[in-house]
Amino acid sequence: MYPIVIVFKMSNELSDKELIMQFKVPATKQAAYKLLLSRYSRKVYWQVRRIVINHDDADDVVQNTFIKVWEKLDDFRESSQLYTWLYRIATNEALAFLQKKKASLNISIESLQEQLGEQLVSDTYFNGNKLELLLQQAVLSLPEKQRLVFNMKYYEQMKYEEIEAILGTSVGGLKASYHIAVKKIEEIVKKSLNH
Amino acid sequence: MNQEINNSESFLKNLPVSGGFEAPAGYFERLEVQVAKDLDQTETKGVAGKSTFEVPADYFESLNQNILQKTIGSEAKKIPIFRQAKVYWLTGIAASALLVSVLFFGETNKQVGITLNGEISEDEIAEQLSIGDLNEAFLCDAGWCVELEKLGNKSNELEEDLLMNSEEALIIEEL
Repeated sequence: MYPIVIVFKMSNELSDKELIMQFKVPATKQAAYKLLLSRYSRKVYWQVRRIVINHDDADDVVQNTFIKVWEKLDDFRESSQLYTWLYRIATNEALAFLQKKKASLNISIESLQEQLGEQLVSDTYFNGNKLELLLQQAVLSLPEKQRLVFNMKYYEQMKYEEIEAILGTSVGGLKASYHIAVKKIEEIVKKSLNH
Repeated sequence: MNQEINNSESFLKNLPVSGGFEAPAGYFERLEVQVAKDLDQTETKGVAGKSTFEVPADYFESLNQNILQKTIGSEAKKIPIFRQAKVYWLTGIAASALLVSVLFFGETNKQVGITLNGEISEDEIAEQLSIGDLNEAFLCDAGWCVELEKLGNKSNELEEDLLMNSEEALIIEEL
């Protein structure tokens, strides 16, 4: 007979893997979900906010993201890391949100992004100076994929391998996207400053 | 020399520890909160200073609460109500069915004749019935075939919808 050893771990010490295991056990499901929320809601929020720009929209998207997580985490097969999976859901939700918004306004995605850039000027929750506003507007003028890559690389400081896992694009492709994005932003910012 | 040090030490001990400096009331509590906030921002916004987006005060606390209400909270409320409603609804049908049987079929009257001599309400019958008593043939005999068929072919969501939109929903609400 082996002695039964019960190991109690503080919730903060739980690895993501352990957290997922606890989520799959009915008795510990709610506690595990609360921990997941406190661990990732902020990170997911900022990821989403940079895509949809507006705070209220980001709030809606983040809530939907975590509702999906609650519903789907049981089926998560752990072929990727938890945060990669979360970021993927959040990114898809945010992009789907923009598509819906575009459809409801009956405009192109480029026009929508331009609108979002213009709205930043009067946004209560944007405190950037003129140059920062210009940078954001330049980022918003990028095609969707380049914008995502730029945000993840520049703001989130993710590794290309991490971005690859989220977006499903090869590292080579991501490097090219980032390089092109930086060049475009540089061009836009310089042009605006010279005027 | 030792004496001089001892004298100095005792002199120092009599001086106020703060050395005359003071901090505003509640400063250290606020400092702790501010440092925690700064750390969070550094951690979540990537490079500090690069992000110019803001959120309302205490937003993340309310965000987590909202999400918990829509996930854990709604599951805790929603599912039992549906299950309970379904049981009550079926029990209601059974009670009605039993009454119908009693009124229209003489043989049932014989079986429960002793208790039927007095006044028996639907509720009293419902109390005596368990979910195991509710078989399809019994309910069908009492004229609920169509409803049962509808329930049998519907998914859970549609089933719930049917239940909630039927007249029986009123009974469920009362219960």
